[in-house]
Amino acid sequence: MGKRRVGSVVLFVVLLGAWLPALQLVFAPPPRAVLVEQLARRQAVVALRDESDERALLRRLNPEWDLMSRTFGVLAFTNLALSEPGRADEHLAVADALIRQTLRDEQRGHLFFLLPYGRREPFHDDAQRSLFVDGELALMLAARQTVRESPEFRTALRRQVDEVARQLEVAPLHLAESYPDEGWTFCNSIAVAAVTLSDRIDGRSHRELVDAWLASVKTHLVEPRTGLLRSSFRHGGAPLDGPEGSTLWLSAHMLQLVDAEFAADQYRRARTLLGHRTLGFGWAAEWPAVLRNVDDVDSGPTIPLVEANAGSSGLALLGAAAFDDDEYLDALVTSLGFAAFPVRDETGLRYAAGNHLADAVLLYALTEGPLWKRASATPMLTRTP
Amino acid sequence: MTRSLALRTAVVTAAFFAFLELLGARQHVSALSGTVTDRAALFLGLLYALTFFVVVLLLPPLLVTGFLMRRLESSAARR
Repeated sequence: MGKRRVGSVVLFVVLLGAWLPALQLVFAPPPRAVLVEQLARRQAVVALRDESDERALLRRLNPEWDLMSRTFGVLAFTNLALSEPGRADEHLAVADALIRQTLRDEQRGHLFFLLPYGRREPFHDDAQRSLFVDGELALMLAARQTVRESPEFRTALRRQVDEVARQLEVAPLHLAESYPDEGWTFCNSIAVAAVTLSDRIDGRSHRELVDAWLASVKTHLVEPRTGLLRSSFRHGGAPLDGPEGSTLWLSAHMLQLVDAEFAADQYRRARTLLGHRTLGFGWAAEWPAVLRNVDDVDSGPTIPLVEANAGSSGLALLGAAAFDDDEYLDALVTSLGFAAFPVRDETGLRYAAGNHLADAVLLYALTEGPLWKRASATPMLTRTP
Repeated sequence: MTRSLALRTAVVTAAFFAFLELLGARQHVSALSGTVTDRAALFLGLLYALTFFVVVLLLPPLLVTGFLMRRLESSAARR
């Protein structure tokens, strides 16, 4: 190789070394308020339609994603209703539309939101119900009623909370099934958050049940090498999958309503073992390095070498926001500008690398706060159900 | 790497990226999150994403390398 060639390679490497740290400035996100406004506008457009291409695509790929996009949508718009009281009616109209559609679709059968393997065998639960569906619906209703009570949803909330509480009560170790013989920490933590949120507004108390669930989780679901919660288990509590980022970030946030100290500990551990931040960009791995696993449909693909996982990185936004980890949140949002391919049009903002669910998660992450604060500020009544 | 190779690579990659953009491949980058409906979309989406990352990460230093080398060569030739 001639001197000139060596010189040009060295020059290229030096320039690359100067360019990479500057990239974060190129992809610096707009102010959060702008992002929220643009994302919310598009989410509202889709939510207010009974059917949409976005939702049809989610259903085709994974019916769970359809339900989850509605849950995160309701959580986002109820938070917006609290943070922008002048536009509360407008935001609640979006949340209400999502809840009505979900109550309607749930009538088509409880398996409507489950992947086909949900039909392969019966649930151990006598009522043949999934905590995934009942828990998310309960959380939507509890969030809505926490902002402002509507007579339309009063009975539905009580019915859903009763159903969720029943499932948690009768399940061995209080760990209920999302699919036949398969329970998820994600769904159990959502269900318990829904019950806790509901208790603060309807005057009942499920504290005994919640305490029993929490004790069971700490005893049976904590993976000993990492101290992180396992993501799934068999009916009866036998371990299935180990800790996964796409479960942990969300579960830690839900646990804030139930046991703030335990929740913060889970976040700190997940941040250490799964979170990454380099040159102003942030991402998250799905599995701790000490516990390898395989891709599954909920995790999404992982980019090798850097271990950046789509599902975990998306939900890490929520974890970072919920635990006021601003540096990590900024880094994650910067990564969205770089690697998630933002598309802006007359309907607002979406990220082409993701889907409608991912956009809903992001919107919730950026609006999160007021609802949990209100729940924490409301004194809990202690009347037993 | 030579001056002309650096500049040629930069121009060809940028042109290929512009071609993919015109083809509408950007809408298929949902392949990155597993949200794809068919193999053609998966291929196009991954190709677009890969080209985008090359353009963003490597093109600016490649272009500057090419231009600086040209300046150096021409000033050396004048001497």
